[in-house]
Amino acid sequence: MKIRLNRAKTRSKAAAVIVLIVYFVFNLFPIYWIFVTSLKTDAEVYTPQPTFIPKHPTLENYKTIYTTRPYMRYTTNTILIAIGSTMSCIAFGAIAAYGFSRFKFAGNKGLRYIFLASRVFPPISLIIPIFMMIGWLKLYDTIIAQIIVNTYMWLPFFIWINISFFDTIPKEIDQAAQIDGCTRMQSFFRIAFPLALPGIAASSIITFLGTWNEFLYNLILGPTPRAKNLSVGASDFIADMFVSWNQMAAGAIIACIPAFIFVIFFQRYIVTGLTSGSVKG
Amino acid sequence: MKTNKKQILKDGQFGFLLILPSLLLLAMIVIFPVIHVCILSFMNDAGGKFVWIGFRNYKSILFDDPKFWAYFLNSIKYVVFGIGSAFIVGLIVALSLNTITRFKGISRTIALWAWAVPPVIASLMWKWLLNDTNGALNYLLMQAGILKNPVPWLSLPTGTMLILSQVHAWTSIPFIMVILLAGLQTIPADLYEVASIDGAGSLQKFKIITFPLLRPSILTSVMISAIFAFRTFDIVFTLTGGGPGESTEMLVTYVYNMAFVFVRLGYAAALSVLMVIISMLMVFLFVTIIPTKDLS
Repeated sequence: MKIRLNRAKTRSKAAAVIVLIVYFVFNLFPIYWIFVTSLKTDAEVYTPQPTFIPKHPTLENYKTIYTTRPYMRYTTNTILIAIGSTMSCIAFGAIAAYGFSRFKFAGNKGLRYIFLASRVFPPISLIIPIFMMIGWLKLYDTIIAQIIVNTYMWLPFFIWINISFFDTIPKEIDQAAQIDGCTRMQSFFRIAFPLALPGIAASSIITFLGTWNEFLYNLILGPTPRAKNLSVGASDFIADMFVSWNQMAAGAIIACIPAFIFVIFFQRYIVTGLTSGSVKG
Repeated sequence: MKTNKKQILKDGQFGFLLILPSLLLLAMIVIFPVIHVCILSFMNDAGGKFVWIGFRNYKSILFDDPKFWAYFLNSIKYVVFGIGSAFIVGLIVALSLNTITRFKGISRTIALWAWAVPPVIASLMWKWLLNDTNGALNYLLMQAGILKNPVPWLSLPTGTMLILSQVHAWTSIPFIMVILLAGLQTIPADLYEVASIDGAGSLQKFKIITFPLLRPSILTSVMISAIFAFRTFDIVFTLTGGGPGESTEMLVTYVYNMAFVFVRLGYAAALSVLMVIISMLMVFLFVTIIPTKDLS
């Protein structure tokens, strides 16, 4: 009996390993392919017989996009927009989540759902009024406009998942701090916020990457290099008459770098952020 | 004593004060635009002037615009095919990750990898892989003897919609996998042992134990990724641009073209409002399927 059970276990484990190997190839090959393409010379890209390991690996494509296109500008824009939006989500969102989690007031529940509902709107459905509003505010084609729209897209998510993180911190801890003479604001900054930091970090990472990857609003509100980000910058290559695939590949790899770093070093936070965001979503 | 003196505001008022900045911000960049888009949807802006025309935009969209229904159908195909296959693959991968005992950490990192790729970049990657003259897929399939001639994957007379949706699937497998894996980990291992002793096979165990206990995770992951698939713009815009012909035009691209190519803002606003309503209906549909106790 036991032997049979063990044999079944080994068999299902072997099947799992095979499934995973197949999936990993499917998952990683496109990324590997774009990476090797970014290292190839023009001659090697435009042959009917593609090579799987570049014959003459070169960083020429990276150099070209940074010298012949405003890629430096796109890179700094993307970094500024991502950092600015994440900071504004933390500044507005952390105290709001704390307020929702800790205090009873009329409309607490209703307001939570208003915040959540704003995340259900497809971003494209608000593009016309926001386009007009950004025009009235004279913010068209600016980084500020990008930070504003990305905050709209991520603040509700940020508040929503941090409410659940604050809920896990016992109320008694901040009450004890207040008895010891802290004001409510101090007990937030000194006690609750540091304790909620893993949750804040998880939601900040997801907000940062979501902003980094944003495409639609950047395409429409940032048509020139003044506010253009790396996602839209990379898609510009395919609008060319002659698509330079190896240069496009180099641009694509640049756009992927922060996300790859986060996945390697902060995988745990990403998983926490994704799961807690959806359990209550 | 000291604390009470400082508290001018009651706890509830203080709590409200904490959410006030976010609320004002949201009022400016969400609530006001929502009202604005609703007003615009009742207007016609031919000739640059907005004129109130009542429900006429909605009437022409729903009754006189065959494109709307064709593109709506494409949006549904995109969601159903894309999320359908992402769910099947995500489930199989999550089950496999839950079964292995060695290299767990690294396997999870690799399985999550595609999630980190920006959607536009994923789309460009596949555009290059699927390229008809220099693409790797055609080369591999021809080497393997499966294809004789290169196939123009992204400009097929039929079926391009299906390929497009599968690129979307590639991007959303990791998310579904993460949620399902988290759900699988909450299922106690004893249950499976009891079932094994009772002589249940793998398939039976899946049916009796895994599936019912995983149901909440399945529904939430599918709901969230379906809502996000419905609004996805970047992938279709860069991969096919709605082509060949109009075979992959969807509601998102329709709104975009109406507003920024044909500059019919009133009509586009009405389409936008319809998209919000459809999204809300999708949420409503899923929430009614999920029993409320599963939500917490």
